[in-house]
Amino acid sequence: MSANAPRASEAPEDPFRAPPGQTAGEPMIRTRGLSKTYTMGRMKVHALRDVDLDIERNEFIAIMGPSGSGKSTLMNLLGCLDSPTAGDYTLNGQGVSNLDDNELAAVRNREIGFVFQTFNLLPRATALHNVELPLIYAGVGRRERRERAMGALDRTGLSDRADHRPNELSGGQRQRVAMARALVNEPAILLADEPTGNLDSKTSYEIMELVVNLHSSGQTIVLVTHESDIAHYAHRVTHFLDGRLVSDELQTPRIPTPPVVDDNE
Amino acid sequence: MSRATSGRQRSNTAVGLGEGVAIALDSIWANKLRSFLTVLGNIVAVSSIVLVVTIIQGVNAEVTGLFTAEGADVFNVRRMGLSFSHDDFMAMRNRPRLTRDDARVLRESAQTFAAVVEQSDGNARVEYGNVSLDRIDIEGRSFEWGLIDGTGLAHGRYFSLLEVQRNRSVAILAPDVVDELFPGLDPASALGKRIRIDDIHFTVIGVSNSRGSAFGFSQDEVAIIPIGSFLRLFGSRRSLEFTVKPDSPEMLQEAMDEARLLMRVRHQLRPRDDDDFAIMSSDTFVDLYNQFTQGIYGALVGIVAMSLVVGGIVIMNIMLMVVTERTREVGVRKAVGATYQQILWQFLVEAVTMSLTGGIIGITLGYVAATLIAAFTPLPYVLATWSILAALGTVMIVGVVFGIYPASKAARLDPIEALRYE
Repeated sequence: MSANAPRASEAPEDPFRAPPGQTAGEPMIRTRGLSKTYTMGRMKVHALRDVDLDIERNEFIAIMGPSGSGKSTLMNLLGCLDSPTAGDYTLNGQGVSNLDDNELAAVRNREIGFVFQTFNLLPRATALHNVELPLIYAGVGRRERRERAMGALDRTGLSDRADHRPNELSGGQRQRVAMARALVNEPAILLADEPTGNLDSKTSYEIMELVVNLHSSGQTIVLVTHESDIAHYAHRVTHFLDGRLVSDELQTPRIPTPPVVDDNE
Repeated sequence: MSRATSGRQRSNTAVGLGEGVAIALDSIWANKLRSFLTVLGNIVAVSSIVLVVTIIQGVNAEVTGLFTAEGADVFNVRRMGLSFSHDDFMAMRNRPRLTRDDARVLRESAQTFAAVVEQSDGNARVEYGNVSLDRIDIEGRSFEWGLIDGTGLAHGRYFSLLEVQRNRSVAILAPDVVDELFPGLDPASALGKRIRIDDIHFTVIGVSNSRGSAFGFSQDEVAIIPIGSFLRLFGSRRSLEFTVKPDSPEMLQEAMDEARLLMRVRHQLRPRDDDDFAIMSSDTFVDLYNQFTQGIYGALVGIVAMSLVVGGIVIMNIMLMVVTERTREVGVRKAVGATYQQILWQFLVEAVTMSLTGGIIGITLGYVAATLIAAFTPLPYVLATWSILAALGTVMIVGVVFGIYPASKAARLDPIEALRYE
């Protein structure tokens, strides 16, 4: 399976991931008074209010909350898909709250790996090409692109399916392609939005095992979910309600175990 | 900046071009029928450009050849001008004939003429032994013809002044007539043979070089005889035509003016009267021909512009549809770091690629059609590189002009909305 065996939960700092010239103590993500307000006609909707959140390097944090709680808005802001109405956001030492669209695109390209509930692969492209996509926009040359994309597919255990198109892959395999795409640019954070929402429990377990392995190898992971089952894998769980951060707790993560399958054939 | 990103450069255009062309070809191939219908306008426009230009260029080459053979440094004095209507023609029928006396006056009075050739053409039966050729062009020429003839002789000699003055029965034959009258014989051995033109005996004194062919018809079915002998054969009431060679090519216009003046005096025209003769140089024909081709090109531009506008609008529509279809794809691309310019470029390249594909199909069709026409009709063709470049350039512009709006629509999509799009 994966080249990286699950390690103990102490999660050592990977020396290669710490950027030179920065103190190891500076958080990967720091938000101060982060707010987002939508104006609908004359009504103002406060999707997110005054969120102060620090996420350290190599943390595995779950963001939970019911729909309408603001967790999607937070994820869009953390993922640099959107700009806050107020407040500051520092990602990997760079202030990103006042960037224009193209600068945000560059930050997304370098620092963020997205994993979506619906995979969001390009349907007509092979797995390899899908994984290459961020590198294409980073301007990486063809040969290096191919090498690195194969490497990323290898990390998610799907290098033998590189030439397959999404419709030739199972749901779990598609999500592995999506994760390889998220990892290929060695992002500062992996942002997973309900990554198991469209998968059965067995496949969910496999994907979460992969996520845990990535975390063990030093990856910072932000997981947005409303399933407490999935949130249990994280070291830290935050809850949102009505746009506010209402709880933030450390926990002992669950070790991935295969689910009890009751619909055995 | 501080991260290990060495070797990475974000280059907007290069990214869009490679991806864009690949995506475009892939999507064109995936939707063959739709793509074909999309670029139909372009196909029609481009194939008509190539077809018409190819044919006209071919005709140009032929026509230019004809006029240069005739000679650019001579002009003609004729009874009838070019007529474009029945009325014109009927009016010109009442004009006085041009006679040998007219030619004599021109020769004696003019200061700027090097030579005046009297000429008249007809056709007749030519025989030798038991070979009989019907409807051979018979050209009556005065002595001066030998001085200005551009075709030249392969064998023998031109008429002597004496032969023309005495209306001797001598003839110069063009190669086709020689071949047909004396099959299997060396053309040189035709010299001295006695042939019959409408039952009158003529002695062959020369064989001309070939004049080539025009529009697939040989111009070598010709026998040339002295003008006096010609008038005896065909009747002396025919009007003549004069070919005048000025003293030098630079004096062409001056010589034409002098010829006009002399003819007006001789016909006793008053200042207000129109000419009752026509003076034409090869320029006259070239101008006329150019006017004609300009007309065709004008109509071509109209047809092409119309089909390109229609084609462009279809491309724009399809591209708008494509953008909607691929909203989610745009969201994904933006999420992984595509900029506004990169998305814009991608869809623009796709529109241009589609447009160019139509153009290339059009060029191929136009070329095939031109080749077929050339094969089954005497119309010649010349494939003009500029017509292909113009066609490609035009469809490229169409792709850009009609692709820019859908492309900017795609590039402006909000990534969050686009990712959520079902």
